[in-house]
Amino acid sequence: MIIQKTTLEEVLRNREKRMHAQQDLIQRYQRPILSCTMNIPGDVKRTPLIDFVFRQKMGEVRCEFGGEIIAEKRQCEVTGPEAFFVVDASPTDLKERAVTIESQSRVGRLLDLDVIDTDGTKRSRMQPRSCLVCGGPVTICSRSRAHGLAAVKSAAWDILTAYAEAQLADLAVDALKREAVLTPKPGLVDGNNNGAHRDMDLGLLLSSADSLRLYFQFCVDVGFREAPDISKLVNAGLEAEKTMLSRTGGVNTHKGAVYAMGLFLCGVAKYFKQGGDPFAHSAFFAAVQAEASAGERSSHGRIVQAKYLAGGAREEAMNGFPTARKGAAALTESQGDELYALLKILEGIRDTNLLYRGGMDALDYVQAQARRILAMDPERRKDALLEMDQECIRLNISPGGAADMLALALFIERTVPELI
Amino acid sequence: MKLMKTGTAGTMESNDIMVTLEPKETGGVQIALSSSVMQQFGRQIEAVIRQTLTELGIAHASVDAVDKGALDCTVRARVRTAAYRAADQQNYDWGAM
Repeated sequence: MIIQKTTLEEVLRNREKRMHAQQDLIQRYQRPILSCTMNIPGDVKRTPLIDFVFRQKMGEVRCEFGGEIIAEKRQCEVTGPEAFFVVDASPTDLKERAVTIESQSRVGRLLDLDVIDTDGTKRSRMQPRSCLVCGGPVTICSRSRAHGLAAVKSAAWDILTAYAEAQLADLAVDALKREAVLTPKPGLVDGNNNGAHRDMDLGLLLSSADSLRLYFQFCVDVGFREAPDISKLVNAGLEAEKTMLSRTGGVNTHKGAVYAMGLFLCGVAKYFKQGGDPFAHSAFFAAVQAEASAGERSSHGRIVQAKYLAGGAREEAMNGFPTARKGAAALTESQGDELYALLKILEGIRDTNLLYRGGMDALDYVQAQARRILAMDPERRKDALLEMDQECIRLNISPGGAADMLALALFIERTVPELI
Repeated sequence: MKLMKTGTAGTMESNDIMVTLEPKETGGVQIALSSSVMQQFGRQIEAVIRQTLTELGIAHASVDAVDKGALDCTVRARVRTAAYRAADQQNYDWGAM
C-alpha cells in the first residue's frame, strides 16, 4: 500500500457518498444502519495500521451483533476504511451497544460507530466524546484547534500503536498455540502424542508460547521505531530464549519461533506504519540482525546449514519467509485448512531440524510423503498423516522448522490478509 | 451567482455541517443555525456563512445550517457546494475552494 494524503475535498465528498450509501441500505432493508469509520486526525486517513485496527474492531462489532446483522458492506477509500451493517435491532439499543464498543477500550476512541435510523436521522450519543489530548469535550477543542494538530495526531498514533503492539503479540502467541494443537502432525508434538520428542508435550508448548508475549510486544515496538536499535532486538531475543527455557525447565520449545516470529513482527510493524512490503521489511531486519549477532554461539540450524548447505530459518528470514507465505496462501485457498497448509509447507521446506536428526534421508522422506498426501482426496489426508506420524516417531525425526513456518503462516493470514 | 432552487450539501457526521440554501428575491441572507458548539462558535459560523455567500455574489437567501462541530474551512466548502447545487451548476470547481 502506498500511503497517501487526503484533501478536505475528498473527505467532504466522501462523507456525502457515505450518507448516500446509508440511505440506499435503509431504503433497501428498512432497518437501522450501523455506519463504522475511523476517526483519525490529520491528512493521512489510511495506513495498513489503521486498516488493521479497523478490521480487528469490525470483528468485535460482528461478534456483538452476530445474528442480528442482516447485511454488511465494506469499502476502503483514501479517506479511510468504512463498514456499514444493516442490523435488526432498535436504533436506541443499537446506539447503546455501539457506544459500549467505542468506550470499552482506548482505541475505541478512534472508532466512529454512527447509528442511522430508518428515517435517515442520526442517533447521537448521550455523553459527548472526549478530546484525545486534554480529555475535555472534543467538539470545543477540535473546533478551536486548541492543542494544535501535531499533539492530536501524536495522541492518536500512541493509541493505535499501543493497541497494535498488544494485538499483534496476542495473535503471535495464538498462532504458536494453534500450530501446537493442530493434530495430527508428523513427528511433532500434537494433541495425540509427543511425536519424536521425549522432552516436551503439548502443555509445555502452550506454556512456552505464553512466555513469549512480552518479547513479541517488544519486537513490534522495534518495528515501529524510526531508527531501531538492532542490538536491543538481538538481546531481547536472547532474553526471550532464557525466559522460555526457565518456563520449560531447559527445553528448547520455541527457539525458531523467537527468531522467525520476532523478525516478522518487526517487519509487520514497519509495514503498518509506513506501507511497503512486510516480507521485505522482515528480510531487512533479518540481514541487520545477522550482522549484529555474527559472533553468536551455534545452533542446530547453523551446524546443519554448514554441512548440507541447507536453508534453515535464517535463509527463510533473509528471503522474506517464502515458505510461510506459501503456507498462508494455502490457508486462504483452502478456507483455513491447517493440515493442508502444513503439507504445502512440508513438501518444499529444507527443514534443518529434519536434517539434524535424520540427514538427507529424513528430509527426502518427509517431502515425498507430503507430496504423496497432497495428491490424495482431502478426506483421506488425515489418516495418511496419522500413519506418517507413526513412521516419523519410529525414525525419530521431527520437522520443527516446518512447525515454525506454519505458526508464521497462521499469523500472516490473520494480520496481513490483504497481501496473501 | 443566481440561485434557482433549493441546494443542500453536507452530512450530519461529527465535524461536518449540513447546509440548505433557498433562493429569495429580497430580504438579504437569513440564517437559521443550530450547532453542537452554538455557545462558543455560533457567531463565527454565521459570519463564515455570510462571507462565503457574499464572495459568491449571493445577496438574498435563506440558509438552514445544522452544525456538528465543522471547522471554518468545512463550513466554507459546504456553503459553496450548496450554492453551486442551488444554482444548478454541475461542474463546480473544487480547486477554487
